[in-house]
Amino acid sequence: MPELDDVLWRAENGRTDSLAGTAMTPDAAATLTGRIRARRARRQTLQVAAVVPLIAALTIGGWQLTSRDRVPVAGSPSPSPTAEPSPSPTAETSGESAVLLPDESGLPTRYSMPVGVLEAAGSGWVLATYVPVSTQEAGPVLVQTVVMLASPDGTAYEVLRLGSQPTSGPRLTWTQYAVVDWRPGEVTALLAATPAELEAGQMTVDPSPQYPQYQELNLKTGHLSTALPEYSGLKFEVRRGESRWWSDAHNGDVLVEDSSGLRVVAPDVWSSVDVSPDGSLVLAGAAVVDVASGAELGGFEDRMTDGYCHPVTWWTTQSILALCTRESDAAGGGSYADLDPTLVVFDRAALAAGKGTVLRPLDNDPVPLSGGNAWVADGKVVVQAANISAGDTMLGDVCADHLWLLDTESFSLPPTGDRRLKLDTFEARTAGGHLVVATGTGCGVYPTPTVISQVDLATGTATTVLGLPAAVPEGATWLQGITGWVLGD
Amino acid sequence: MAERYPRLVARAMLLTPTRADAEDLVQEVLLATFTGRARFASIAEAEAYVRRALVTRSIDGGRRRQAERRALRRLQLERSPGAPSPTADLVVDVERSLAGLPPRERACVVLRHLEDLPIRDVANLLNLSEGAVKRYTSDGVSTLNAALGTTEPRETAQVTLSKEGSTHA
Repeated sequence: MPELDDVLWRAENGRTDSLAGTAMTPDAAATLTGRIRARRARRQTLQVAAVVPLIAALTIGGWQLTSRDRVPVAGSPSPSPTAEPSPSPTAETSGESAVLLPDESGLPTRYSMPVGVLEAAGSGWVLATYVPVSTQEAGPVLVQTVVMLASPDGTAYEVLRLGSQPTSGPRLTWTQYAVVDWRPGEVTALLAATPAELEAGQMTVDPSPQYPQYQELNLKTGHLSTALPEYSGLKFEVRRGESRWWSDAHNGDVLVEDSSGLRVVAPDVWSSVDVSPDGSLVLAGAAVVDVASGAELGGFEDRMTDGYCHPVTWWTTQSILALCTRESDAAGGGSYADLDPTLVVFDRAALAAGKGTVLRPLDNDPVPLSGGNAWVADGKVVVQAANISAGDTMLGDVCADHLWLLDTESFSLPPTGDRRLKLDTFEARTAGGHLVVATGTGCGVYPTPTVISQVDLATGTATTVLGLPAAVPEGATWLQGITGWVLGD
Repeated sequence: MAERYPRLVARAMLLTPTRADAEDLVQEVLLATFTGRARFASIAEAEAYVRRALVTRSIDGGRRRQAERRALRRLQLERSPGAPSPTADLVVDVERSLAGLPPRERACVVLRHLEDLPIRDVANLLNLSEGAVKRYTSDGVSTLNAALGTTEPRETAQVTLSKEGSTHA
């Protein structure tokens, strides 16, 4: 008699052979990929870079990565956003006055930028790119990229516009720019450039590994120049001090760029990058790596003494806050809450030993999700988190419902300047004592434009620094406004 | 890489009654996995994770999967064209026999005998006690052996303890 294992293997192989050459339809693949990207929108993790090629490879038989995978982004059913009031400008350094510019479809309230403002910008200022796109766009149209600079008090200046891109026909195409890096005092910014298109109300941004490509923008002249060729195939992750962090969309490597050039710190990571507050350590995927030596100090890949643990964000300059459960959250079948989720802090030594210090069990508390979280001070972080209901079995199924301020004592709700009721994507960034948050929707199917707010934890107040696009076309909704933003350090 | 989708669907067809359900399951797991918290060091690791998640997910027939299906249908997800019927009766026999098992028995058999996971790992994945995994696996294997005319694999065949404590097959 044949053995059961052999028969099972032969059956599975036989079925695989019978399915050979079949694949998920391109539309289904695009829908799935789009939903994944939508849920993870604004989380800024490299997982997307690993996931999209995987999905593409899984689904399109014989399809090479040189082909372009179009990711649909469905139109938003949300009500039309409204313009938010903006304070009067106070930064006038040249005697020239900032002039309130006329309302313009797709842009928030903004002022002209007097000479000297760019140079006067400091820590806490936000540089952003707007590329307003609505569901109503139909050719011929001019796709505009508008660069905005916002002060911490909420005054938004229009820095410049990149050359309008005329496009027409039922399928509109353009190069989408997103600012990814800039330092206050500098007159150049780094932009990511990616092909985009809009057809039948669905917007797609090309996720192929060869994109984005990077260009340096002179913020005074508007001149664009090709960035270093070494950036080809790299995805900008984050700046920490003098160092810029990149990930390689082709091989999953994590690289740092500093005064000595560009070097690989962690190979074959295929996941997110989270640099410690002082820049000495990096959480590359599940591994913690010493930046100077390249030595791996420990990781979160396997079951640890405290259970299955996933890093949340840096708790101090030398320790990581992690979410641990009794079992893997991939177990399925039972409620996630039954897995006793607990927040645990791992310092360098604890990480190597796999044993951390319990901060608190999450009995009825929100559960922090990965990505979009920020260290504020040692023992104080801002995290996006979700209230888990009895029916939730995997964290992958849930969306964040708020940003939370977490310290050693409690969870509390920091304010935001976004007055929309149902938000589900959040990203917090800190620099120079400033906390800035981006809020929006997109964890579910429908993304809507991002709002950026400056948060003052001391006073419990928030100021909208870059609000929703104004003057939505009648009968349409905005698919996007802000495409990228940088918090000045 | 391109051949991994058929293999994932093939695995799912051991766990669900129809190919349509299998494709639903694969897509659902891909969505949940890659929007979730899992982190992977390689694509191979990601694929292994998805393969196991197919099993665990297959026994979670709750409202979430129904909701996901409804959502996918609202998005007018197209099904890929039907594959030709497998020529080997073996494939159909095995799929039909597995379909006759209770979900947890089926999951335990697939994880133990196809994924080759230790009992402890299966218990962790399915949130079951190790004793329950042994019981489900044993019951499932017995049913399959009767249906398919197979024998239990040698390494997991019943053992007897000698007086000295050593084991003999």
